[in-house]
Amino acid sequence: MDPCEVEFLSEKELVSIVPNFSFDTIHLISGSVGPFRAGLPVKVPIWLAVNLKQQQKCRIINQDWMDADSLNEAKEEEKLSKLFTKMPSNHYMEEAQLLLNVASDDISDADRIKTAIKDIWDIRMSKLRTSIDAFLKSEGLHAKLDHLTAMEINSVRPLLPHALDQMLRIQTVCVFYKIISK
Amino acid sequence: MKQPLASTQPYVPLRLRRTQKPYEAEIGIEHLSFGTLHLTSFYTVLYSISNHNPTCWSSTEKFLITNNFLCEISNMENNGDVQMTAEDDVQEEEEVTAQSVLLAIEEAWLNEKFAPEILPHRSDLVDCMLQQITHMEENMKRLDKEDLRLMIHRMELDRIKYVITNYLRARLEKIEKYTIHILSQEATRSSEECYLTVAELQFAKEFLANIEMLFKTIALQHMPGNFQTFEVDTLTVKPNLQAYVFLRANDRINGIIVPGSMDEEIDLEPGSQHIIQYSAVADLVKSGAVKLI
Amino acid sequence: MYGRKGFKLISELDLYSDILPFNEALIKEILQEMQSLYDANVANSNAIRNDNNMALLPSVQLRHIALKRNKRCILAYIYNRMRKLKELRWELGSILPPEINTNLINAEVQWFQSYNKSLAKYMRSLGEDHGFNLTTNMVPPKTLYVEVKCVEDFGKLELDDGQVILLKKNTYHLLPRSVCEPLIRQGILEHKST
Repeated sequence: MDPCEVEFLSEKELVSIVPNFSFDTIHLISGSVGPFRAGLPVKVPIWLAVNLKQQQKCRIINQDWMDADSLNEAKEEEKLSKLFTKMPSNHYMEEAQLLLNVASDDISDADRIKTAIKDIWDIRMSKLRTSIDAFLKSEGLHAKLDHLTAMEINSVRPLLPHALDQMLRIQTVCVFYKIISK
Repeated sequence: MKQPLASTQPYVPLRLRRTQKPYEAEIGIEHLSFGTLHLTSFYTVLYSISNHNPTCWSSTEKFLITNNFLCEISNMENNGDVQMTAEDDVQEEEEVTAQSVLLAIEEAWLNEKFAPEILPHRSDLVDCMLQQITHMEENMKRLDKEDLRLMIHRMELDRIKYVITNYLRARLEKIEKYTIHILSQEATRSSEECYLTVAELQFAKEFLANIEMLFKTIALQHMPGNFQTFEVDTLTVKPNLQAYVFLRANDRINGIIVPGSMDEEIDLEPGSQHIIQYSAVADLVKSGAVKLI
Repeated sequence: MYGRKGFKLISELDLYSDILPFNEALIKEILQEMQSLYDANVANSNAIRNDNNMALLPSVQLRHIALKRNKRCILAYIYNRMRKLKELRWELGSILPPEINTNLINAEVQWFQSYNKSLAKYMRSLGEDHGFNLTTNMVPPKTLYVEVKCVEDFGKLELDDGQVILLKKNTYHLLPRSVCEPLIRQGILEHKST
């Protein structure tokens, strides 16, 4: 899947905004949003938040978890844990990117948040590479992938299933030759 | 105060397949995550099923769109409670919102994207959502050009159209790639359990006929003797059902036998994620017990 | 050596990603090779049957395999050209640019028209009355409007709301994304990078 499609999926997540306009509830097919009251926070999907922000119709309130200190804590925990820790969002990477891109003026500490997210991503990706390596070497047939987020899964998609398919083919051929050489 | 709703809304028939899991569950979950939003408020789709005659649907199914964002009903503070009842089979009603149909399409889209084989069609969902889109576009024509809602609805429709387009294109791509295989499988299925829609089946047949025509005119007819035949068997391309896929379990599932192992079994917890050969979970994807991610 | 020409034919697909002129001459040669292989096999088979000359059997088998390979190469060539044509249908629409059209033979043009027809019929069947176009909305939508640069004279373009704009080379426009998408794919408009 193209990364922009993963981003597309992440845009369904909700985020709080503070609109600078007032408007009644808008009934979307995917659920209603609003009512909007100038100055009062309201939750909307990210795709809407980003567009309202681009039109200077709102201020974006940072996601609760997008806080440099708690992200750094999560980072330390990720370092210590052998397994993948649970992320605050299945789309933490994309959400951070989307929101920081469009609303860095609304989000204090943007640089520290960016760094922390990037660090967490790097730690998890290297963990992922190590565990894939171990998994392939053990000739595993099934793996549990709890707590892996959408973008992380997508980043191994071109490689891992393909490698497993190839291994399966080689195995099948080996079995075949064993049978005919008997 | 709530009374006028029922009488002003259009009825649109909706066909929903029986094998689908109840929509109630999804609505429940979304209710929580959306917090303050009233989901049932708008686009309330009410559909009732008759338990006695599973093959006959049309008479009792009612699909109501209460698309009232432009309607005259102004006092709807209490709209979360607004419900409509179909005249018959009250006890068997399941409520379906446009939102839950959309969620189901999104799941069908990702399943189709990641499954190596073509999956049973969901034209019930697609038709329903295309109706919603048309309906919404009609209503949007009445909005003022500067109206904030116009921009927001348009953006949402673009997103939904993208999902539907991508979903249907993924199916067409599979049909074009595995034409012969899909057609021969489809021939063994009864009309209730077929995987292709009527239009897809037609498209597949024409696609095959066009290839055969192309091969014959350019090459086959000029070949010697029995080499002229369009050999269906050697030209068949089959999907690799042993391909590995990523999935998330919707329900609890016990005792999946891991393909390739001696007799290793695994259990899936709801919400857990796995990588495994598609063949082990193909039926679970089709029943909705797991979704591909 | 048998099958060499067949190999030459399909390596053409690997070497060039564009649709080249249909290689009729080479296909003719391969078909001739097939005919002579076939004739030889008919003669040998008769000899095997009539004189019980089993020594000929391996040659018959070899030629048979060569025949099958030649058939496979020709069909693969046609099939892969068809696949590229199919991609063009989704990228550029139902009318092929002349530089592609001149490289096709009649049967391919015919195939393309039939494919167009099938696809149009399928898309018309979707939705309630006016169908549903599957060749737009190819990428996840981001914004309703995109800033584009016109890189080729196109002429007048009517928007959904009836507004008509003039697309002239080197002009900049802010247009609905759905309108731009096909024109960007056709190389008439270009995304203005922000």
